[in-house]
Amino acid sequence: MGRYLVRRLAQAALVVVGVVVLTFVIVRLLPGDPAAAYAGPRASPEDLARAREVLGLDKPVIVQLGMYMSGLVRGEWGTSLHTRLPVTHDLAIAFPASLELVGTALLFAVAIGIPMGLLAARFFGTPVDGGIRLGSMFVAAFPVFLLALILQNLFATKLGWFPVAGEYDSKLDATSPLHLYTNITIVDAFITGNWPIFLSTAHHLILPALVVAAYPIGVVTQMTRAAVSEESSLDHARLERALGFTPGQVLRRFSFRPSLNPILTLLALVFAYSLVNAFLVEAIFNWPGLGKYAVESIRSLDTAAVAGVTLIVALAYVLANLVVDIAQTFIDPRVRLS
Amino acid sequence: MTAQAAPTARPLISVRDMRVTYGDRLVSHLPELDVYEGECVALVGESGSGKTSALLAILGLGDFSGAHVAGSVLINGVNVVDATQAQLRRVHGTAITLVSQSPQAALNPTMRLGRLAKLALKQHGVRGREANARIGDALSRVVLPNEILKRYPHEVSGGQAQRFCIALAVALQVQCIAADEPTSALDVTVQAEILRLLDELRRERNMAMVLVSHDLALVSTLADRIVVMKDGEVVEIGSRDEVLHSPKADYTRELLAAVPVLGATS
Amino acid sequence: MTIIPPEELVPNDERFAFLTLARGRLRGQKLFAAGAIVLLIIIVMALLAPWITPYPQDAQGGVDPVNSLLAPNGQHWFGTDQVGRDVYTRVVFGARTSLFIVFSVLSLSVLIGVTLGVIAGYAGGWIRDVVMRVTDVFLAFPALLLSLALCIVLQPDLKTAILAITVTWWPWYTRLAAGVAASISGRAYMDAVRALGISPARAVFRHVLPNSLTPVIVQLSLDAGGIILTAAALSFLGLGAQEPTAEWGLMVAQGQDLFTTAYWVALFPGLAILVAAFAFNMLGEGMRTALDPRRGFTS
Repeated sequence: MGRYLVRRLAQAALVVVGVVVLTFVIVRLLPGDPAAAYAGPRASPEDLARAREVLGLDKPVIVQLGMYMSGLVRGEWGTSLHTRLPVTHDLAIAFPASLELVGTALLFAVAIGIPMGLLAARFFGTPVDGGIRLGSMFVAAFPVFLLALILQNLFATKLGWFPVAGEYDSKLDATSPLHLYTNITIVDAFITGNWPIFLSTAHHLILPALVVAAYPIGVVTQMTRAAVSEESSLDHARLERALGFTPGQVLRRFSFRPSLNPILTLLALVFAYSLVNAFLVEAIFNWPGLGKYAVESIRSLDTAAVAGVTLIVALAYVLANLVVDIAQTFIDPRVRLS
Repeated sequence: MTAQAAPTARPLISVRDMRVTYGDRLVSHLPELDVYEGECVALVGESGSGKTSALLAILGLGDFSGAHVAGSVLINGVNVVDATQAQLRRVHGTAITLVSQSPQAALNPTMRLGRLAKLALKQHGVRGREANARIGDALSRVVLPNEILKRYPHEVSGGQAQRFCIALAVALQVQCIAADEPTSALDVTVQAEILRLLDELRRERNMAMVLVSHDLALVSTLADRIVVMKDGEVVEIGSRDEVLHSPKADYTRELLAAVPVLGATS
Repeated sequence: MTIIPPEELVPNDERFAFLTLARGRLRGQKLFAAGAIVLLIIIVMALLAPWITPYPQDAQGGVDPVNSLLAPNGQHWFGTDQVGRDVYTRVVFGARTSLFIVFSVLSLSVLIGVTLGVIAGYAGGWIRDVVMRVTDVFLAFPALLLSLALCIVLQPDLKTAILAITVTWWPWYTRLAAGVAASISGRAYMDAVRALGISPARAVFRHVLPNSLTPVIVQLSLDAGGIILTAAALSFLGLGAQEPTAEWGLMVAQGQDLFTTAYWVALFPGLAILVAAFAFNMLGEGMRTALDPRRGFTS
């Protein structure tokens, strides 16, 4: 087990290096002069020369890459053009907000998708199964920004059941200010017992989280259905039936756990996909997450910020995959051997 | 061998006009077969003869891989062909259970063997101390150490896995074992041990057996009666001696001729 | 290892399995048919766009401010947008853009991806390792993210979007192709093939390639749906096709602020995206179910 872990970590580390290199390449593809951006619009030639030196633009590309990487490790991810704050500072606020949204969406996905998938597997081949399959495909094909617009318009603007935008009622900042620990609003509200903000955030979360959850619900349902029904057609399911277990028991008790592997792998993929899908939703619901930050950075061509967002999402994905791989060794004893 | 089929009571399993179809193809047809307590009936034939489908249909699991079963297979008064779940409960794991061809594939990969055994017994109302006792006895009967209960299927050998599957049948105290090529995936030396174990169990506990095999030599050591199948139909049916020494069908003779005999020259 | 004659590795009638969808009753066939029909309609409409739409000039820069924001009626089935353009016409022309994007991205991805993969698979050794690591890095970026970053850095327009999406999509095909190529060049298989007197080329073309075609085609179909959604998302953010091109994502972006008052401007192009993606999904899923090797029914 230890060796597998080491190997897996080494692999992840290599991918991280690659991600950083790729981001560096993209940032360097920028047309225009980074020194000019750094020095400002009223820079003299001496300022520009000094900027060039500071940024290391006169050095060979490899050295620049090295400087970039060591800068990243030291926590120097550059300064955002449109907020004028360090990118790390912006990300520390924006990323947890996105996590809040995507995390809730994934909870919805698991809570709805897995039971639906099990139901479809139980009634494999019947109209119930067909309906669930069709529904999950439909929901997964729904463009996320359209769904956001429709739900926002219908349930928030027209019916008023939910707030139209924002993370929570900003008036509450004055009446019951929130102490931050994790920077994830709903979590911090919960652990500090700040119920007004907790409830307000929950209320604000529901619509955008549902929108982000649409695609995950669709694919989790399909994957659960496929994995579980595949598993329950295997030899061990046949023996379990012969031992006296009902088809329902074979499904829930005996086929589900071996199917968790592909489902977990899917969840890691879905996490990354949803994190980026959430950008669009955040733009529409004015959610203070990475998406909003990224969209504003795009508008102002703020490459440091965009690079920062790219990096952190890719890193989060690598981490998610790592976590899933490790979790799989606990769930499926066969994985430990490989 | 045990007393030949002197039917004292009703048959344990009673098959009448059983047909297994896959789509519109008839895969297996058993017009009539009775299996009595304590006797071993073997279904033999080449691959494609319909013997495994017949076995699964007898188990009431014919539709497992999408086939359709028609006819009547009575076990303990229940026609497994169209029984409800509740009715099948009285058959699976009580009257009859399965010993499969690949034992390691037949055991749940994410479950320790001990847990499977406990759950299986619990399914039939045997818990706690009695369950532990039954499992312990069964394991010692099949000559497996108790500590195997802590293992996962991929951590034991093929022979051990098969013994465990047999132990399950013993612990459940089933009246009949359906065995699908129980030794074909095992080493030659292990094969003999498993066969001997099955034979001993049968005699000790008066357990019936429906055995599927392509290996006539194997069958000759265990079976009381033999059913020869070809292309889904029954070609010959009779007692072991009849079929082996005075076969009536040409196909049976062909099968017998194909059995390699050590030291023979023809 | 027993040497299996290649003919038995892939029984003849299964090699071009995906063609059997055309005949016989198969599971998943209804799904496949539904997807195929819808897609056919979309393709035909896209091809005939200039002739079957009432206001083709609206898709190429024409404006009609007098008739702006008209609700759906007899002359404008889907209503008009802020500058008076007929939404229906623009939606139909949008199909052209979307199909063009899908076709370009898929061809480029397959070309680059499969070439790289085959090289990696055949060469083996460190070449293969390097290619696989590079693939891993690209796969670490969620599709939209990389495309986003690239589009910002380069001039945002349709061609950039196609390039950006291709960059994120090729790794899958490299993986697939590398796996196939590796299995071909595996020693045991090659020895078996040579021992039976069959040339490697023949083995590849008559057996391995047709058999691997089916999962690739299923994947292509499912990818098409994903590409449409990704392209639409990019355009929604203003990073893809630009005005006055009729592109569904762009149209939704233009209509989003009007959603409460003039829902039709954003809704119909949005629904078009949904229908197209859904159709591709049905196609792919239908194929996958139909070609799912049924549990072996042995006797």
